[in-house]
Amino acid sequence: MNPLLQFSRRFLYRHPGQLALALVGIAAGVAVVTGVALLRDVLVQSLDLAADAITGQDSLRIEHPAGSLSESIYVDLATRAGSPDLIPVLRARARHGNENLEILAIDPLAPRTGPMGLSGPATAPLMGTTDGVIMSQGTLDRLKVDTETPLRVRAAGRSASLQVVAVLADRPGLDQRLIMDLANAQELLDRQGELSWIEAPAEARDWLARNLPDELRLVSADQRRDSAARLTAGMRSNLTAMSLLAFAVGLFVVHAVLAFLLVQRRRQIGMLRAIGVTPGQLRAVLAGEALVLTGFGALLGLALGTVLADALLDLVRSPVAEVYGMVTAGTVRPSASLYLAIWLMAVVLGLASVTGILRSAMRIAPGELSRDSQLGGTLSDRQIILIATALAVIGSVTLFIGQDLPFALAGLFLWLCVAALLAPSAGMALLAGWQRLRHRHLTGRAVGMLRQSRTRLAPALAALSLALGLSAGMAMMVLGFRTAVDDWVERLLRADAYLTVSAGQIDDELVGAVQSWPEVISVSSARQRELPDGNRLVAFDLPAPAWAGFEWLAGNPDTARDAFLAGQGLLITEPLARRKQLDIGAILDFMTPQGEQQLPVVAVYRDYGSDRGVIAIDGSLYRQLFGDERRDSLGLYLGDPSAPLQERLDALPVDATLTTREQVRAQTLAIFDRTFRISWALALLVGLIALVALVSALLALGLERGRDYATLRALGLTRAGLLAWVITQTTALAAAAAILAIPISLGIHTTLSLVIQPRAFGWTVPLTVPLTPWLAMLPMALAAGALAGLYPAWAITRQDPAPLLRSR
Amino acid sequence: MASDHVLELIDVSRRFRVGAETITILDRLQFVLSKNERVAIMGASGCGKTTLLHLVAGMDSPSSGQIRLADVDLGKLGEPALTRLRARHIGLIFQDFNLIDSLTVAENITLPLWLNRLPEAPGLLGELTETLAISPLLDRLPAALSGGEKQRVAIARALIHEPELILADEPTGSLDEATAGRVLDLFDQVIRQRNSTLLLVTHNREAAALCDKRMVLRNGALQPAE
Amino acid sequence: MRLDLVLFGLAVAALVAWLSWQTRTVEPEIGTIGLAEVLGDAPEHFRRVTGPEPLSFPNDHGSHPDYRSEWWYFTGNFETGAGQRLGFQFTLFRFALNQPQSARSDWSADALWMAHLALSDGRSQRFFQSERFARGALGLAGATPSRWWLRDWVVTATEQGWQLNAEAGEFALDLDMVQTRPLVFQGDAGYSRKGPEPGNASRYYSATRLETRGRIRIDDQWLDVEGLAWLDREWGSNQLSDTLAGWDWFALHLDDGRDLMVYRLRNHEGEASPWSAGALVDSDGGSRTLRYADFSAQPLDWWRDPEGHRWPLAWRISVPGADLDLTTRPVFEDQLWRRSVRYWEGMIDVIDSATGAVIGRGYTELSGYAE
Repeated sequence: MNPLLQFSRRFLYRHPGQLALALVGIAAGVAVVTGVALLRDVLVQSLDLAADAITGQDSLRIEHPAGSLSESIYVDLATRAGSPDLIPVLRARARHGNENLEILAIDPLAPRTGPMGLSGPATAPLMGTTDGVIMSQGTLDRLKVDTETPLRVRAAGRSASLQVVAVLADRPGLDQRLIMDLANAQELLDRQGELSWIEAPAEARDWLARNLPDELRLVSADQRRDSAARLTAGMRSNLTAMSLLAFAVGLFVVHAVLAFLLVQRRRQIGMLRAIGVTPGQLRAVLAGEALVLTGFGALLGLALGTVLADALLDLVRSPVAEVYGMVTAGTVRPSASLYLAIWLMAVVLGLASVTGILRSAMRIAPGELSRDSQLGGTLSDRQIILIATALAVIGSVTLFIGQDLPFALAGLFLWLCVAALLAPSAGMALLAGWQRLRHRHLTGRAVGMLRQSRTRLAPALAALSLALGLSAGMAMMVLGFRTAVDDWVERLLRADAYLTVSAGQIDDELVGAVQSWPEVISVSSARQRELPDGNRLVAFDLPAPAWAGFEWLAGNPDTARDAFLAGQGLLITEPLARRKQLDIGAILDFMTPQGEQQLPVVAVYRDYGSDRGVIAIDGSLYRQLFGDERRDSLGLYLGDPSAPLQERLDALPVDATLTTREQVRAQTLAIFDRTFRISWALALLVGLIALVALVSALLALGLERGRDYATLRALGLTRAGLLAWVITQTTALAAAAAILAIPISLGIHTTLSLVIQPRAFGWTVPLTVPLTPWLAMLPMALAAGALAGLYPAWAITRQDPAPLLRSR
Repeated sequence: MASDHVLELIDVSRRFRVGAETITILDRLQFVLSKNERVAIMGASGCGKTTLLHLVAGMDSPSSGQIRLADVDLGKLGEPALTRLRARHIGLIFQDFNLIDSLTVAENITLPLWLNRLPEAPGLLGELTETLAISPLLDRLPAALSGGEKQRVAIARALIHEPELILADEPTGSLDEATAGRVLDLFDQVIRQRNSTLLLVTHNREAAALCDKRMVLRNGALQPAE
Repeated sequence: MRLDLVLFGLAVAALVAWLSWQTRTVEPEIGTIGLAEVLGDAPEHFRRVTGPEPLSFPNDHGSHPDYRSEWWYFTGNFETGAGQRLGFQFTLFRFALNQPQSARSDWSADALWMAHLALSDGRSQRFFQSERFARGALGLAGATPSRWWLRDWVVTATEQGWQLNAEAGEFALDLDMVQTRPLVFQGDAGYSRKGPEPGNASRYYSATRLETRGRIRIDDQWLDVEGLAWLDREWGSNQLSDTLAGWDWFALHLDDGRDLMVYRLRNHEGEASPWSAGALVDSDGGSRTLRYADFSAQPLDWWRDPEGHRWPLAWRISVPGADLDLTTRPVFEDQLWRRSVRYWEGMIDVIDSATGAVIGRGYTELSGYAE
């Protein structure tokens, strides 16, 4: 074997702990990146995976601007000469327990359903039963149902019992989908004559362009992906930012470990150079080490990330369905190109992160045989301040130069770089202060020894304070946001109770019946409808007390109200106003069955319900324009809020449920909490990787300072004393990082709340500073620091001091 | 140019800047080492012996003057060429043994052969290890060797590729007297056996006795020892 | 000593293998229909063909939903002006659902319709095939006395015959077929028995000689064609008893003006069933039924398809009573259906066994060899 390779191989084996930490660091970082990347793909493509599974890739979709189309359009198109393969689809959302599902009803005899394995005899179970559904094996497993027992689902406001008649193996694109026969689904959903859209293969474009009736439009797979991407942009950029941070912290670990491995070999490298090893040979060996380490670690990370992605998907599945109305696939679908891209990125960035180390290795002069010399600090304090200032200026400019989210994220990232640059110096200053305060005490001395190893500790300190700062900042933003949402719901919910029905519908008659109850003073109602352009329209019937529920952000409340009630104006939510840059007086076009309508915007109100935005229209105008007298829910204003209404409910001809204001509020907050579970999970991962960084730094420190520790032992420090010494050091480091994390988290919280949120979701969040995250972070950091010190401390105290002292 | 000049120093000076001061370590040094010659350079600590050795090995460059090694002007070579020249023509022995910890004794000794892509001269490894009495140690790692054993391995490594010039820097500096005596005996034996050209830097008289000629470095200049 | 490197290599290989397994895509298998299943046991509520009944036209050209299965079956041999041989098949199948769907929806169907469209190009020896399904609802497929269709594949009744328009990507057919002879009622006035049980029978009539003109598109090129086509109409429930493994069917246009149809029902041992039968049509249009004893059909040459199934593509057919001793040979071998149903349906030459002269053209259908 090549002696230089032998040199590197045997050396690495002598430091298995460091090696393992480096692998863990890079693997964990890559795992988070991979997990989030796969998750992003699912979010963008979940709408499309089902279409891919049914029609093939890049299918086209024929839609009607009003949202649904008549089945006669399908029959007309499908029987025309030269008709391409068209698949009629009726879609509806459904729930089974807490799982959000999607009913995809198709004609299994339509062409191209073959890719689902539905052609020919496989269709028999779907068409031969009235309640048959087909689902993927993955969905079957997730729902923990079988083909024997009926599957209870809620769809279209009612409960239904379905029967799984066939299971498709290996069709992840159809995860969370219930495939039904159109006839059965139309009856189940009470949507006779209706289709949601028609799928067509990509090559049908020309024929459709010639044959499609004017009122229909053709939506390409790219357009659908774009709209899914737009919908989830905020969530995805949040996740991406977190994952890149996790990766950066992982790189810190690799950097720290490789730097340590170099310092340990400094003398040997000098010797090799003296014997005649050229710089090129040396660089090849060291870069080879980094390559093997990052390459293998990244490979591990890809595998871990794939597993992680499914776990993350479980966390986002229900909020994505609740907030965006999208049913995601049950499992992620990795592609070779994604894996390759992440692997290459990890290796390239991993190598880039150690170029500094390589360069300083190249600077080791032949015959330079000093043992203990540190790697020269790569940057002087003045250089650091210079670079930090420059980055801060660029970051600030970036933050405010454009109104787009990417600018804001880039700006935030630059500011985090500034924090990472300054954290080591600031942390060392904190430790110096501590040392001065307690200079006679053991802890003061232990901390003083830390300060001698600044270059070794800088990456760990930066990583740890960033991770803590980020976690705390995220927590503050989430808690602040939660308070804002709570206030908003509290204010919004004016009625004493809300009535919804599970079977039957709320129509004029029912509204009249409820209004006639003596307990009821007045009734509000709401009806939501998705407009073809993706906007949501809500039709409100609002009695006087309901108006206090609006928090006006623009417009004159009184004149707005008059115009609204007169059917001469629309109210819009803040996200819509921001996204479409609509001011008071702007004219909004919207499609109704009676053609396009135009109304001016008369007021903007606060709303956290939808980041797509909502247009509010007066109920009677809505019923006139859309010919739809149904309501989704009624708000009941009662004389006595505690009046018993159960008997009256039972007397109604529909299955009605009353929900109190408190229950609605609790449900809203529950959805909110589910939405942010993934942020907590990612913050936790980043924190864990930062702890790995800390452990690796301290282990390295312990090995480097072995002689010093041996001297301490020789001078009479007991094992226990040494243990306390090391744990004091780690705890002090963690404490310093936690203190640094306070301003960092405040900055992150402010930026997230005031800049990122409005740009990502369209709404502003009143800034509050919740202190809980700080109070929670400090003890957690100290505990983690002490914990992280245990292994290095054990490793250090285990060393026998005598040989260490003797050998030099 | 006489071809039996292995090493030639012409007007070599080496100055260091320490703060605002300039310290002259070597001052217009003249020195010639011919083939098969063995010269010891002695002097007090800090007189510039090691600097001189580094200059000769191409690990440092003179402030002025010319160093010729194997008829090549070192000043005209870049770093990679210097490294290759050193690898091929010089065998180095340091005070601090300087074995590569993660390579076995055999791997340490044959490292220069690998670096120079040279075949092993037949029987040379056996002969060297036999003479230096390290044959039983070939598969061990340096950590398992005593100081004397380490230095004998270092000597074998310096000779294995039959360099034109052996440079030794206090080869017994880290050893106790008895061990040092034995290492010097073996070193002497092997040098004479192979008729090597040697430049030895030491302040140890017994070590210097190995050489045919002894010189003293003092105030930046070389003088014959008394 | 290098065990570590081996282990490392294995770990890398294992990881890469696991990751590439994650990126796999699985192509689903397309199910196939065993025709015997569809043509065998029908639930009780379907009507059975148990004896001769008068047929009335044009009504009986339309579908008979009381019966389990039914088909409209065109085959034909053509030639272009430049002498290029072409053959075609268009079949519309109706299979009633065991239970009509009952949902309150226009999509509720009573039948599954399947259509097969095939084109054999004698010059390039290419066999084009296209299969479609549709549900019997919303007018997506159906058959009235004057129109038989599945989506845009349509047969329309004309004054003298039928017009076929069908487009299937790579190829398309526009054919005008003129009926030149009276309908031939197979078996006993259209009561065609296929087995011993009551109901092991179908209603079966043919239009044996349709003089056809039209155009055929292959890829982007339209060709004007001329030739003879054949229409078979058949319906029933339970017509095949489960002792049968398949059949060999021949429809031949002889140059002397006679048309010959024979089918040989095969049991699982490969022997001809006594219920095999046929019909011989004279050039003046008069016809007579051929019983099992009236003819013989023996395979001569076998062709092995790429999956290893053996198909008897060349036959010796003799009808001693009509002084016919014929040999049939495929125009080319691979005219094999590979969709939901696997069968061989292709154009053939008819040769006088004695002289070796080509004396006609026709179509052969072979089923039950790939199960």
